Amino acid sequence: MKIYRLHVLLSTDSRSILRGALEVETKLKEEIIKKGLENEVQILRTGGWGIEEGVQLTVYPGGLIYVINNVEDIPYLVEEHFLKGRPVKKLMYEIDAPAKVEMTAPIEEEIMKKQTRIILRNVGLINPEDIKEYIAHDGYQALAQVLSTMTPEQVISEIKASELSGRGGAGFPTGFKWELTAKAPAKPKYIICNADEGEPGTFKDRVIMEGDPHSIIESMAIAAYAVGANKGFIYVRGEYDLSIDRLNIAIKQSKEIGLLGNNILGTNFDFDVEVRIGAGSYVCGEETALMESLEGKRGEPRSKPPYPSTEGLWAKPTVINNVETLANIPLIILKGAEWYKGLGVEGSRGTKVFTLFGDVNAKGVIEVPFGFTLKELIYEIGYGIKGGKNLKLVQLGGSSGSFITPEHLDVPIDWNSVRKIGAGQGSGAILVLDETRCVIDFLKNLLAFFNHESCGKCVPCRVGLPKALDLLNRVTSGNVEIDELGFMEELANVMKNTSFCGLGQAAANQILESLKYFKSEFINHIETGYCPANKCGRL
Amino acid sequence: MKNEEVGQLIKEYKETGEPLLTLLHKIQNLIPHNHLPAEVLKKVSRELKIPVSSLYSTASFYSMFSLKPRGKHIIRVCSSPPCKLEEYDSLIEAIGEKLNLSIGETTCDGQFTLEEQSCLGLCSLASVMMVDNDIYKNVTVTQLPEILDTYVEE
Amino acid sequence: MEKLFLKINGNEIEVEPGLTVLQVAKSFGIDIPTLCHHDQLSPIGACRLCVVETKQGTLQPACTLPATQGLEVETESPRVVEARKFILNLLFAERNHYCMFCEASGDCELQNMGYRYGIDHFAFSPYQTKFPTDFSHKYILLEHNRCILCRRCIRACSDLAGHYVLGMVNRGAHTMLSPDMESPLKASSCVSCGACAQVCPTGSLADKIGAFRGKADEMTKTKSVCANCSVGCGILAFTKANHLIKIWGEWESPVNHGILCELGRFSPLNEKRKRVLQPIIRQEGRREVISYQDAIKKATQKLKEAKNPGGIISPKTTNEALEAFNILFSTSLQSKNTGLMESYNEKAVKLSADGCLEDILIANAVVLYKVDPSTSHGVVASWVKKAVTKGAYLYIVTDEENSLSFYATETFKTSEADKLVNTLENSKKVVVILNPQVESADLEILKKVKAVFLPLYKSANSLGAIKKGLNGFFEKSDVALIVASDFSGDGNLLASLQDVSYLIVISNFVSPLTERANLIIPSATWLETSGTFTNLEGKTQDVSSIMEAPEGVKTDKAIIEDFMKALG
Repeated sequence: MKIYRLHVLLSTDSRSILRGALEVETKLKEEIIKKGLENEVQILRTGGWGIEEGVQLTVYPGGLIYVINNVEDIPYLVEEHFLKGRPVKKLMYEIDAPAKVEMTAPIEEEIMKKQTRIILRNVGLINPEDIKEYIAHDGYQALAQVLSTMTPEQVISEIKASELSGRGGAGFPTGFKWELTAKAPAKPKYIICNADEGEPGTFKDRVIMEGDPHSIIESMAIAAYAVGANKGFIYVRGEYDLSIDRLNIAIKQSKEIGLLGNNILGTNFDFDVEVRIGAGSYVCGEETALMESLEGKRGEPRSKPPYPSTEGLWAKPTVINNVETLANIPLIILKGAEWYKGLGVEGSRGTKVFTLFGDVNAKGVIEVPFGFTLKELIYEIGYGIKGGKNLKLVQLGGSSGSFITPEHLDVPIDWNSVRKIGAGQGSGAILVLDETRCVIDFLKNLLAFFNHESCGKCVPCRVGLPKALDLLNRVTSGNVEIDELGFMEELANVMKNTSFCGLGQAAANQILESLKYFKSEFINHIETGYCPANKCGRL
Repeated sequence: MKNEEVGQLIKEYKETGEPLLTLLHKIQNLIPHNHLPAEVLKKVSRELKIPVSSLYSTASFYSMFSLKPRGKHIIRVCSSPPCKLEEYDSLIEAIGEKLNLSIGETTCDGQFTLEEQSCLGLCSLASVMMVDNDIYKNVTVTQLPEILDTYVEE
Repeated sequence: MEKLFLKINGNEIEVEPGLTVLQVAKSFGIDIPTLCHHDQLSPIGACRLCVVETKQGTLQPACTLPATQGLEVETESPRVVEARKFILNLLFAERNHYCMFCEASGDCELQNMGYRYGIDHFAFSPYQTKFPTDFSHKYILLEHNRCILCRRCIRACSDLAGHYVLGMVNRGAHTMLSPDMESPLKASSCVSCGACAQVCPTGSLADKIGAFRGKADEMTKTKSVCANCSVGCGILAFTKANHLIKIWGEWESPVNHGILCELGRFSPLNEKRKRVLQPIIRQEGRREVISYQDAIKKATQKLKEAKNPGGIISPKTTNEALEAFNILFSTSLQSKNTGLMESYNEKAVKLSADGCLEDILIANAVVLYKVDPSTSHGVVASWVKKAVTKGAYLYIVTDEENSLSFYATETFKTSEADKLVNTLENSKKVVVILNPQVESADLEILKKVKAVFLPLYKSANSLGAIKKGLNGFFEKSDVALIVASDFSGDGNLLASLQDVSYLIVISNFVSPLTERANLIIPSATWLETSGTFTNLEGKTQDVSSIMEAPEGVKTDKAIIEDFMKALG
């Protein structure tokens, strides 16, 4: 085996590729050959660190991060750092905050100083298209341990003891879910990984699938062993090309070395995984709608009960877990439930991946233990609001999430604390809006989104959304009486209370929260035509 | 219309038990103008013994499938709320002006179709738009002509 | 089984497990309003009108909420009523629901709900989009403006009737009901069974003939059995002032469970044939109306004088008329020269000892042996489609086009019919649906198949007649009596009457057969007759008279009895 002097980790997630990662790679290779360094410097493709700028190169030893925005900088970088050993300060990652934050220290110290990476443990470090790298980072060890030393009951009790909860939005205890399916008498049973990440503003699952696809496969195999399933499906959004490709590569590699298929690791456990592709429907992220879609039908949610754990895919017992939830499993097995419970807070164990974006200085994907406040996330990890403006609103959990106003920034983000202020953390998207944004315009966008994605099955959602949009348009055109806001609230309440699934309920919630926190803005629009963002188009 | 190729895909579907949505994706990619024509759906219905109404119900539900012919190139502007906070409105307006096109329409010369795209999970790069399979990030109105020109036939 | 205790509106209720709250409420006389729900259809919880309030303060649809131990719900709490009103307001504002212009006015469930909850104005600005109206179909109109997207029609068309013609297209606010691929109904694969119109809660799908003819409440409803084939479907006929307005499938019928076919639902409404209303005699080339008494006298006199009196009877008449006919010939006329207007292979009849239509629905394999039930026995075709949808294999033996070939696993030429034997070897439950006029060579093959056999006799009471020893034409006769019901008499029949010198025909309608007759006596149609029919399974079912016969027109049985009286 060759020993290299320098290892350059090149981010090749979908966002980095868009920023020119492949061109950077070509240029790097060219320059390295030009300088005769091909036996000294190794380029490794990895997922992204979660930094949302340029193409990131992490150079080991040292762990310095460069952000390449222009391939023309590469010859200089190769010459200076790779050949002469002098780090290039001007190409290092820095955050465009009022006081520039320079990242001259190794990544573990700077970017990761506040973060704890369990779910994203391998993302940005390993080549997602090479199973050997995953294995070298303890990959498939948890599966081996489970198959050789644990009974299915032990696996379930370990997961239960860890208090791992679902990361898709509802926070249902994962171990309990598995147990329900394990106890269900019907056969066969299925494992589904819900990778239909359609929640606007949420791209954590994408980061995991693009950066560490094997962790999902390994976790599904463990879940399958625990509940007695032999078949798994990963339902990925049709829009996520790179995720689909990388998952398929990972499955192929796992099969080749017998980590999927029959008699895995010499035991009598058989398990197979297939990637299934969606075709553009947000509501398919709802677990029963996803199953309908998997069965080749319209992705409309089913009535619950029966719940998937007893009657799921093809009416068989089914465990359905979110990508992020699954990615926790291997470490819980390897390090134990007690270790895992040491992270986070009472009622919310472990870490949570957040996607931070909007009017914030450092956008990106971050992972922290439960219990951080929004203030810490936005002002410390995100380095504050762009242009030094004031915060107006945080939408936590994507379009179906909750409005958090500045007075609640100190509330810790964990299931219980967030519930206490009547909110939910949903998918973990943190959309930051500054004081210049118009809430009504924002709400209109949200409702237009839900209206586009409504399946049309139930009346309150199908008819209520166009009617609510209609009312909003009249608000911005000033063609409405103020007491009609009460009617809008009534409409939203009925939608919230009677809609078939979370889509209609979430849409209604956005209306209710807008009215709750920003009623004066509505009244201003109606009475004076004033819009803070000058967006609503009336003079 | 691409009868043989569609037949081959259906045959593969029968053999491997591939999911229906994947089959429809593959067929749509094969058909000129990126759509699922009625006669093709009828063929799928016949061969797979799925009632044509069920197939049509399914195909029409998903936004990635089109039942009517689309342009040679499909412009998809992400319309999810994070992208709408950025340049969405002005992009739609500018595309409309440049190509005389509104959402859901195809240009008379059959070159472009304009569609809304649901969240691509690239919110940190808003506004995002796609032309065919090429994704463009942080798009602004000023960049638009240059992007579109690369797809205009000489 | 463990009993469940729950509270509805504060009252303790004890029920068996496995029911929904709606079912429980209904059984205790508590009326929860519904729209998308229909007792015959699986609940989907789409309209949300049936929401009830739980103890936890949530609103849940009663149609899909299982009754569980300790559940407490309120069915008309203020929150529930407010929510229902709002939902109704939304529905009224979604499309065009100006009730006074709708055919279903008075029968419309949406309108009734509006009255019940006092919706007297539009809370939202009403519909703006004009939706299409499809009048293309011969019997069914599809008015999208009245559609509330409850999907009852889709579930009836698919789950109950097995046709899968109707579906949903698009999603969200753009959702529309669609036959096939948004085809006009006429051009679609619709087989005109009409189940959709029967379940539609508004005036969106309605049967054209019955439309605009008044409220169902003001009509007389009569349960009977359809006489258009040998399936013996239960029907519910709606009449007003002795006019037939519409026919529904009878949900409680063990034969068809509410499903009908085009013939059953629409052909009686579309009856254009000319009735025979008075007895007519042909003398010296002239036709003359005579009195009923004179007609009976003349007919019995001719039969008594005959050397070889013969009789043929229709398999569409009741068992009671067949019985009387047999007695007339065996006792009054001392003749064995009787026959039926149809003829079947007795061996095929014997094959079928214990066949039952329900068997089709639980079969692993179904065979259509030289038979295409779609146009003649529509409900059998429905059942076959349902069986295939559930996963049964379908094998068709035919040399012709078969309308069910879309569903076939394999189609065999008649010359390769023997391949069936091997093909079916491993099937657990096989149902062979056959043409009972098949030849003996076919029966040799079929005998080797372990199956349930269902011969599709042509007429409502074919099997009843066969069981009474009536099968095939008589030998030879000089004076013949034909009890024709609505048979018109095909070429074969007319040819076999060549030697008959005096022909007496008892008939519903004017036909080639009455043209050939020397004496015609009018008879009541099956719609005007009570008695029993024996269907192809051997079930004997009550037929009730739906309408009154025209004045002076009697039933077959009554006429034959008058013959007997006259003969002493």
